[in-house]
Amino acid sequence: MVTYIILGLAALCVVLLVLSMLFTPVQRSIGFANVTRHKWNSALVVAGSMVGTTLIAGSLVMVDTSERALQDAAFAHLGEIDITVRALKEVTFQIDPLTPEMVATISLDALNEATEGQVDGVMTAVERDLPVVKVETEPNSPLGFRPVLAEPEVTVLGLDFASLKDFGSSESPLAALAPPVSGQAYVSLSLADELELAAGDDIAVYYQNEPSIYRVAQVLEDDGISGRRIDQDDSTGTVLLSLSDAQSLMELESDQVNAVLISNVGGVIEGNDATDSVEEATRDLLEDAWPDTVWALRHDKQNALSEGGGPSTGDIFLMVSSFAILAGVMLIINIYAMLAEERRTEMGIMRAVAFSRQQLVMTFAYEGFVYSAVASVIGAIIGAALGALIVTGLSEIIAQDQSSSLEGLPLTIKPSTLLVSGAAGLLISFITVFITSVRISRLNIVMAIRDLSEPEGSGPGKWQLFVLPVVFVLAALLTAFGFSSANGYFQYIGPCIMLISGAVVAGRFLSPRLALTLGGAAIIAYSFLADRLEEVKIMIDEGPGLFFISGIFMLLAGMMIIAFNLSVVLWIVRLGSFGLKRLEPIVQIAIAYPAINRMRTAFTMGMFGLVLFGVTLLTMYGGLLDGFITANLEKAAGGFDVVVYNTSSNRIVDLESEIQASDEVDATQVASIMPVHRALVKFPDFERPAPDDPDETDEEQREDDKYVEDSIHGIVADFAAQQKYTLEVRMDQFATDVDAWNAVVADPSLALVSARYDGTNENADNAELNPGDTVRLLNPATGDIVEKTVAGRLETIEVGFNVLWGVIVGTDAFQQEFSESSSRGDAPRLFVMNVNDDVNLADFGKDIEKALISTGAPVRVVREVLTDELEEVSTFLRIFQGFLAFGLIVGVAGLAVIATRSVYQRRQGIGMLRALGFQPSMVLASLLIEWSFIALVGILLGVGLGFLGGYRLYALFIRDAGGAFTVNWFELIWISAVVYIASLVFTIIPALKASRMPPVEALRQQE
Amino acid sequence: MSNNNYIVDASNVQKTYRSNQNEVSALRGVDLQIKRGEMVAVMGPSGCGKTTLLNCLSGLDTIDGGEVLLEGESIHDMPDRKRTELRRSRMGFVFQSYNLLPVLTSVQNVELPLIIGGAPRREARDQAKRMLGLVDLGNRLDHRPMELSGGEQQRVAIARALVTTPAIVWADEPTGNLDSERSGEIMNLLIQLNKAHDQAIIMVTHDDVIGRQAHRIVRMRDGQIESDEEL
Repeated sequence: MVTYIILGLAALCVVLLVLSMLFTPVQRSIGFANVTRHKWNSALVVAGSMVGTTLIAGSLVMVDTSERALQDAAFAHLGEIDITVRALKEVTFQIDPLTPEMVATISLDALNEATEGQVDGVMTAVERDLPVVKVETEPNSPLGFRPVLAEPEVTVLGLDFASLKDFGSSESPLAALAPPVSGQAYVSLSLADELELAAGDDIAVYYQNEPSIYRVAQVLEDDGISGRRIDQDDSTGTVLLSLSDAQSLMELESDQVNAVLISNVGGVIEGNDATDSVEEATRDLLEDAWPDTVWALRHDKQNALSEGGGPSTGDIFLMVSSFAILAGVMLIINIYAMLAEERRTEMGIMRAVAFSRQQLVMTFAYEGFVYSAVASVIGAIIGAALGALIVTGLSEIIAQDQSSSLEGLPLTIKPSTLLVSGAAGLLISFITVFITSVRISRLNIVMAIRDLSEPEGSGPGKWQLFVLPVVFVLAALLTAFGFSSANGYFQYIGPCIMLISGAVVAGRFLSPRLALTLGGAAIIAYSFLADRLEEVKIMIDEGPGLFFISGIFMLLAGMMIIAFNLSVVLWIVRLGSFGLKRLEPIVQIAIAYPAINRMRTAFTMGMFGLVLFGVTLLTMYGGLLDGFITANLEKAAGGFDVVVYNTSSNRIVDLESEIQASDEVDATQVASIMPVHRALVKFPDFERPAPDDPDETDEEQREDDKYVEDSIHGIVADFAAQQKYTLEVRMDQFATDVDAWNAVVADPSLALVSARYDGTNENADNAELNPGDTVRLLNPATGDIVEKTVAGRLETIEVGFNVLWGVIVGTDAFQQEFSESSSRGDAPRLFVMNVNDDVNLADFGKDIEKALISTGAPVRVVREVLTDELEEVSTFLRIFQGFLAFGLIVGVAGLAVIATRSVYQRRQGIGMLRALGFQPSMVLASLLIEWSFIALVGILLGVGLGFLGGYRLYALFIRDAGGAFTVNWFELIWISAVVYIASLVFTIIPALKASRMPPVEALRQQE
Repeated sequence: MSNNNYIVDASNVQKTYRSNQNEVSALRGVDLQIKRGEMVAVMGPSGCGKTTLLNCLSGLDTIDGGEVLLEGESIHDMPDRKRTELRRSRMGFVFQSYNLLPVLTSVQNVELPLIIGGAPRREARDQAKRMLGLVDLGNRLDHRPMELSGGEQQRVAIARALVTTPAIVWADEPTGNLDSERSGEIMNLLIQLNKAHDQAIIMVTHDDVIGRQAHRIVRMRDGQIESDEEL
């Protein structure tokens, strides 16, 4: 929709301008002549104008690529399958077989009747993610084979191949194949790559710890069903079996399946549109017919195509770019304001020879249109190249990421991307030019001809006085609406607009400096205060949008303060030169120009500030995250080195024996192994919050699900002794946290609870469980209720890795009271392990994984998981920084453009200075000091506000979690220095040119 | 051979402007000597080379042939640094378009040559104020050029040209942008200052009335001196 609006507006703009040009030949020829008048200057204007387009195009390439990656994944691993239906066991949620009667409930005819023909395929399947091992025959080994390579999680799928031809809108290539004969399998190319498989090789598939051997009959492309992955993130390939082989492998009867696959009408992508309605109809049919069964309906394709519903990478790139795009807009305003200033005399003459104000605007608009059009074309191409560069970098990172199933990113640049980014860039620069043209056309003819300054109070004063109070009132209404409707965006934006408009109006009556300075300071202060508003906090928590908007308001506030206090800053600079005779006249001239062109100076500083704000914020965020994760690593690890998770398909009952029996692991490296049991528990005294739309859930279901649910964990004495979790509170009778843990293991009447029960969690009914309180726990499998005394409450564990939550009791109590609701039965849900100090954890983790390959048990080295997570985030932050750094070119190039134009504008002044005795070196020094001053204040503004923004992030997300406020000073200084040096390099050319200009040439007024 | 009585001694000065295929001989072997304290008006039709002569004699522009001696030193043979220093210490400039720095106030414009020369700030400021008082602008010290009338701007320019008490003042159409009343005022001021400080003033003008107030009129035509008349 937005795409069409942008294209439509751009097209309208072009058509109107071209038509207008046809009817106004004089303005057109003057406008065009101005373009060709100074080719080098025109090139600079184009360069400045194309920055916005470039960044938009770069971001859209990211969007195209991520969409394509998602679509590729959807085609390869889901194909026509839109919905997967499974039946689950109550409480434990284990997959239950589906009977023929259940399958008949959602036959193609039944679904089409319920959905008015939105379904074009229903197919039954037998499937699970299981460990698959490439094996070679070895008669001497106990099993008759030896493992070669293994994958712990592979989708093993049994199908009725005959039904493939009726499934979905396009026939699967599989339909042309005969089903694999018994004992044979087809494998996907992705799995063949991982396990180095070819036709004729043997594989062992493990179910309930027993291997079944199949011979690979054929390797198939990952193409929909042949590449199906039950778990889109972790499955690494597909094994296709005949239906009967799969049933026999997974211990099902010949008339039983465990999944029904549904295809919506439409192709792989389009079919996804009907998912919501088909899913609802399917659920209704199943729940009506089989109310006692728990139905799980998965829509993996919908999830995959929407990237989980959060903002996409491309969206985030666009948000990050907004700073640089805005900086580009400021650059365009600056450039055109300078052009207008240079041409004041001739504009005055044009007005004097009967050009109307509108005709003057059109002359400028035509000229600006040419720049904008050229800039949008070049900018779109450069942006696409920039996007391609970033995609390539990202792709390499993803390819090297062991935890990612992706092999890279498919670089995709849609023609529409070039078109839309070009159109958006054209609109941004042209609208900016047009508004600037309207503003500069308001000139006093005589004063313009004589090149005299406009009298104070002229211009848009009256207009401001009428419009700004209206803006103030509207902002006040927006604020009121924000608070009444609990909208965080309006709660923040409304008061900020009120402060800006209020300050400008107040400045007309009081001192502008006082009003604008106070207004700016108030916006910065409010940005901090607003973080305490619940809705604002939630919005910032949900996505970066509001935080970025608040960043822009903070920058505007900073610019207001700088612009109206520039004289103070300049006075300080000048103070530094007092007493230094040679420097004094140089500094006097250097500061005179920024002081007199206050708004232009503030705008230029703002350009630097905007981009550096973003870069600083990302740097600060990276540093904070690094410090936070490092600081919380030990706390999150809980004192354990490795965690082994038990799968439902191949349970490990005794990990120690498995390790002892394995040749892969040196059992002497293991210091301790502690099983942890887990089951579902309900709190009959606490109710879950009501659903947003109560109509969607029927009464009976709500009654069943009304209690707060959580997990209950059973731990052993070793666990209690070795864990290093911190209790926020514990019963007075325990001298230490460990005493409390030990007591919980020993005394079945005691339990520990997680930080979720500190009285602040809405989803937990704001339940507050304190030491000594009695808590009632319901076993959902048996309906039994037991009472426990709370021995203590854990501290919040902030880092994204945790083996314990909910309720913790001793293993004995767990086995007696909750084992029925455990998804792993008597087997533990996981094992935590500690190894000897001299053991290399990474190697040990790999060894364990190999030892347990036949179970497919996921093995996690705790610290590695946390540091990998940090590394992944840091890498993405670096890429964002790199992308935003491109925006720094706006600041630097902007300064270069302004420097070049300044030299041109001031040539007479420079000539006069030379005539008065200014040496060339003094001219050079004066210009460099001036531009250095602008760049440095801009850098300080951006870095300073970025620092404040970083502090806000800390206060919002990290302080309460016990993280430290860490700043990567080295990186901040390094970035600032590079930007400053780059500005010097870019401005030294015009400065040198100015200093070398012969005085007589400079003094000549004509071009 | 140079004569120490002449503050400016130019002989056979030639200047040609080249652009693309065109060549314009602006000065074709000009000889001119100017004594200390002398007020010389350079007159002639447009394009005859008056301003070029002024620029070449003052060292603002280069020459293609001949020699210009300023107080006995060849101004075009010295390095740019020294020439710039000479301009700062021994010359003052007044231009038709005033050429004040728009970002500085009147007093800042006037004190600038002194500050460039290394004068203490307070002293420079006092001297600039005194000079602005002399040109009757004591009440316009903190006004920027844009806030002054043309005549006032030219008086600031004159104050700036004379504040360093230069030996020679170059004035290019100093009354060109002014009405006759203001022109008269400016000329009176220049004459008064010339008498007071014994400075040589070389002034380009179109205006015969203005020219007649000088000690001598040099008339030019086609890049050459047509007549040189003592008044």
